[in-house]
Amino acid sequence: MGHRPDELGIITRGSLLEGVEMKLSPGRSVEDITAGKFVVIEGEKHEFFSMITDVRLDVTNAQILSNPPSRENTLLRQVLSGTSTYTTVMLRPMLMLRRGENAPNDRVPEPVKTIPTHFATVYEADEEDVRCIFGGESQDRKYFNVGTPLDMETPVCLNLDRFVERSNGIFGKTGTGKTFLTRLVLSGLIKNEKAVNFIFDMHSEYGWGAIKETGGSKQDFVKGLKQIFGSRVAIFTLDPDSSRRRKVLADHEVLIGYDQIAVEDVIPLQDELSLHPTAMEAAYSVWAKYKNDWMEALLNWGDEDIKSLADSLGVHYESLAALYRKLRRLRNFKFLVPKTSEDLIKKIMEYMDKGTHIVLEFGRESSMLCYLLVANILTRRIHELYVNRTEEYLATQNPADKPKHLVITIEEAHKFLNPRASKQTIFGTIARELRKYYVSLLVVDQRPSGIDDEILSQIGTKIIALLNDERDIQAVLTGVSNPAGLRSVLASLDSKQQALILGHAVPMPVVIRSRDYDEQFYKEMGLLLEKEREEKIAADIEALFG
Amino acid sequence: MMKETHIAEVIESNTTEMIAQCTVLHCSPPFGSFVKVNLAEGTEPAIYGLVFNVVTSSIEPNRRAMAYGKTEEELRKEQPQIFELLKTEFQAHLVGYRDQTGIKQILPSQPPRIHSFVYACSLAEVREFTRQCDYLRTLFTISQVPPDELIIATIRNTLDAHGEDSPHYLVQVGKELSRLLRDDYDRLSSILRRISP
Amino acid sequence: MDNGPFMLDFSILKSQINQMVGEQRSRQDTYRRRAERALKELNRWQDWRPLGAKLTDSKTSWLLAGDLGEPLTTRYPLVAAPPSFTVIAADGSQIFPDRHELTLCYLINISSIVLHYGTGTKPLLASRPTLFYKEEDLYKAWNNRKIPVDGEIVGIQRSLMEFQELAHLAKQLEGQDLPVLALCDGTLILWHLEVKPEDFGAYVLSKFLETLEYFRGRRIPIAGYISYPRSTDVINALRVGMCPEHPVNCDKCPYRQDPELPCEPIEGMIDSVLFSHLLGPGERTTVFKSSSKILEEYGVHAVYFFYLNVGSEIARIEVPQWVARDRDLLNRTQAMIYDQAEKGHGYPVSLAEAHEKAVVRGADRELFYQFLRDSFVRQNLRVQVSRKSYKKKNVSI
Repeated sequence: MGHRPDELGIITRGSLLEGVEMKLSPGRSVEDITAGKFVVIEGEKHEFFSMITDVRLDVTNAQILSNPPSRENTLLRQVLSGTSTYTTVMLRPMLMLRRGENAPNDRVPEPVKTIPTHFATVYEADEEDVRCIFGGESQDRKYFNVGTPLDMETPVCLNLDRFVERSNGIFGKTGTGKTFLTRLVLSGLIKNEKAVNFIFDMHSEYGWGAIKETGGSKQDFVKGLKQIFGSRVAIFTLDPDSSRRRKVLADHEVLIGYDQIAVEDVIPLQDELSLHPTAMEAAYSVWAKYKNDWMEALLNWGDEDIKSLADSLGVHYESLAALYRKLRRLRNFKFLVPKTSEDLIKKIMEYMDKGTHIVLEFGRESSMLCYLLVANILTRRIHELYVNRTEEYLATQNPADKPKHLVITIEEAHKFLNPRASKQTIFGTIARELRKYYVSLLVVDQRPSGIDDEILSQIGTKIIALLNDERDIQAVLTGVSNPAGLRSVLASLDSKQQALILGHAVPMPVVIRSRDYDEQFYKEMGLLLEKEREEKIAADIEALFG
Repeated sequence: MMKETHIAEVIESNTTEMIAQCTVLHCSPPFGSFVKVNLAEGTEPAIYGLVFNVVTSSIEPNRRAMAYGKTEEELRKEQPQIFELLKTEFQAHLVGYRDQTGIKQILPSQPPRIHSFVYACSLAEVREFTRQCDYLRTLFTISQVPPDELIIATIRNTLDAHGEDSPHYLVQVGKELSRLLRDDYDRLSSILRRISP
Repeated sequence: MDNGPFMLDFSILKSQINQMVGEQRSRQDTYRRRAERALKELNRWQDWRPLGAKLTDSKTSWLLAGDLGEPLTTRYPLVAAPPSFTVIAADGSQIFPDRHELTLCYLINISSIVLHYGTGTKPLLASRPTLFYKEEDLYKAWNNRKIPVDGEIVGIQRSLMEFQELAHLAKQLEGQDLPVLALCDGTLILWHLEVKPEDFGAYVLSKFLETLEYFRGRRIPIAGYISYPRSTDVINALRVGMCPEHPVNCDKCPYRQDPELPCEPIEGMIDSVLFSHLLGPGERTTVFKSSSKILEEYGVHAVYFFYLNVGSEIARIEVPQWVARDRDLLNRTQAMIYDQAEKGHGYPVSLAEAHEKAVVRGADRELFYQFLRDSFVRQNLRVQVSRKSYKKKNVSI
């Protein structure tokens, strides 16, 4: 790649730990230099793919600071520019590539182990560079285009194979487009069939159409996953009325019986319900006696005579009373019934075994309590099943027995994964297990500082939109080597449609302008026209029911 | 090549400087202008000098000019001998030479011979010589005149030679000066202010 | 007595200076009286003829101003100088033979000045040295004897060369119709020659008169300019006028026993001082003829003189007869000389330049000897410096 056009600058100093500094070439304006931009340093033996992390104006002489040239004095300004006044750009090399190898496809970028020599020239990265590093969709199905680097048109691809090897996170302040990013990633997983998705859709945004936050265009609605992918996505709903009203084609109504709620499912609700630990003790006591019917028993007894129950169990009356009072709220949930006829989990597994993705809508049951409860209950069960399946597979070693990889998407992740909850909930367990049992998480959150550090460090790939809070930024960069440069990049992101991707699924951290979620996108995901879709549905029904 | 008329004759020379007497009284090449001398009669290698001091004085060391209170025209009519007893000389700093390989901005190995003829440099020659700004550095070593004044005058003269290119050339020279003057920003701005046309 | 670092004993000298100053005061009174009397005498001869006759009949060794033609107090104001004219001048200097230095030779340096006024023509300021070393230069033969030349001879030779240079310069101007003035520094009267042996003197004189004749032919005035003249020709004439004797015979002066001679009151007065009380700036006196004996040889070039107030002093101007008797030429000469003196701030500029150009200064002198010595050495000739001159150069403690 010795054909590069305009040079951007020259390396003047730096270190492996802190990054290298570049002096901006005369004739280049500092205002063209944006944090997060992708550049290439041509060293003697290597090319260093780097990111711009900071920009600084310098003068050689303090006198200039106290007596700068006036606006009319253009000659003095031009003379000083590039000599006594100059711009230093801080770069962070991310990958290096040995030079002189011919076929671009054979070149494998390595992690940075050294730095370029003095006076190495720096150039803007071009399309070939991006393709070389991030791969292209045409090369392999594992690559999925998620956007373009700043000021470039070349697509940046996520390596989906690597993406699903770990749990991942999508972070960003409220309103920065996390939902869009999540939809993007989920679309990729669905389209390239890399995993089965189970999405806890708290705000009913993913399954069917949702309103775009920024209105003003004629399309105020964006399509949901089911609308794009048709029968490959199934919508389960907790609130059938709401779904009906919104004309959502729900596939299944969710009912949960009391006997399906274990004590472990209540524990994550402690904070939400303000339950005292002793109350949990009391719950265990109830379960000890009534086993699976403990909830029903508690609620029934609670209606009539909690005291006697407390006595019979030998627990403190107050604790039990408090427990009852708090759990009584569950009665309000329409989807909670004393007993269900169907095994919901079995149903879910049927779908997933067929490769169908599931979006669980909450409709109007979108309280945090409901969300926490349902997410915990279902996830725990599903995980249990997966553990069994995995152990079976290990025994038979029959490829047909291999469980399909599952990605569970949860929002408000800090509620599930805060330091206290992460030790107690299934989500913490899943995150820590990595992919042992073929289950991983996709966490979406605006308060990453609320998430347990240990969990954060297990997260493989992070897609980070704009974050302001210093704690959030620090949290999200936990476990990242040399975060200093990335910090300033994060702070400079646009509030919409820009994100920093770093971690397992990308060879180097990269700032992207995310792919537009529009008609063009739908088409690329394989969305069929109305008529074609109906035909397809008919054919599918035929196939299902014979 | 057309034979040019010489404007002065070398009367003293050393490794870094030469002194030449002008053929016509009061007609010296201007302060800060470039002159050239051929190393030996008729040969191409030419030595370039930069005029930094112009002196008009009496030919005889013990006689000094005095005030008459008359205009020059009147004096030529009434005291014609005065003009025979005065001479104009200039001192030029040797800034480079041209040999077969081109222009070099370093001191020549031999100074100009006494009685060599000195010629003014044409605009084209000035433009070619001043493409490189290295010679500016040596101007700071001249002690007889304030170097800033000399630099300003020299650059103003060379701007004419660069014609349309002069704004761009001026910036280039300005940057060289900035390097030479190191941290002396005030001095740099003062010089640039006075150079600008 | 130890004078410290000084060679002169100033303590002794001081009282002598005081005495001198004291005397000066009384001398000034005497002087004033003398001047008044001289002026009175001058005024007396409004009718000059009787004085003229007395002068002709007188017998005295003094130089007397002669050929009177008008009242002695006649003054001629300045006429306008021509708008354009040329002045030529020449001067010379020599390096004398020093019998203690090297072999014998001498150097005469002659300067040439041509100044054009009003035309803007470039002036000429040049000089030319001549080295005399041949037998005939170093030894003059006269009276059948060979005698080495001395300083005085060289001086006369130099003087002649100056005049010849003037003629040469004038020849270069043939064809120019602007008025020309030829100036020389000093007298036109070669009284030196009076005492010299005939052949040398005759030679010099004839050459000199040749040049004067040339000038006469061209009608170019040639004038000798004497600054601060100490001549007394006119005073002497007045003194003759004061003498009661007829005819006046100073050899047989009957008043020698008297306390004061009748002509004594103005004795010690000089012409220039006398006329300083008469002449305004630019004014000249009438012309007088010089009675110097050598002038008998001059023929039509007999030297006349007048006094001119050049502003800063009274100068004596000597001109040949053909100038003196040509009123226009004379007046023009007066104007041009005055102009020259004015331009030269009190002394004619052409003569000043001629002098500057001619003079050989000490350093040049030394250089000349050095040059000679080196030339001899290069030729491997023995160079012998006599002990006396060596002593003059290096006086040790």
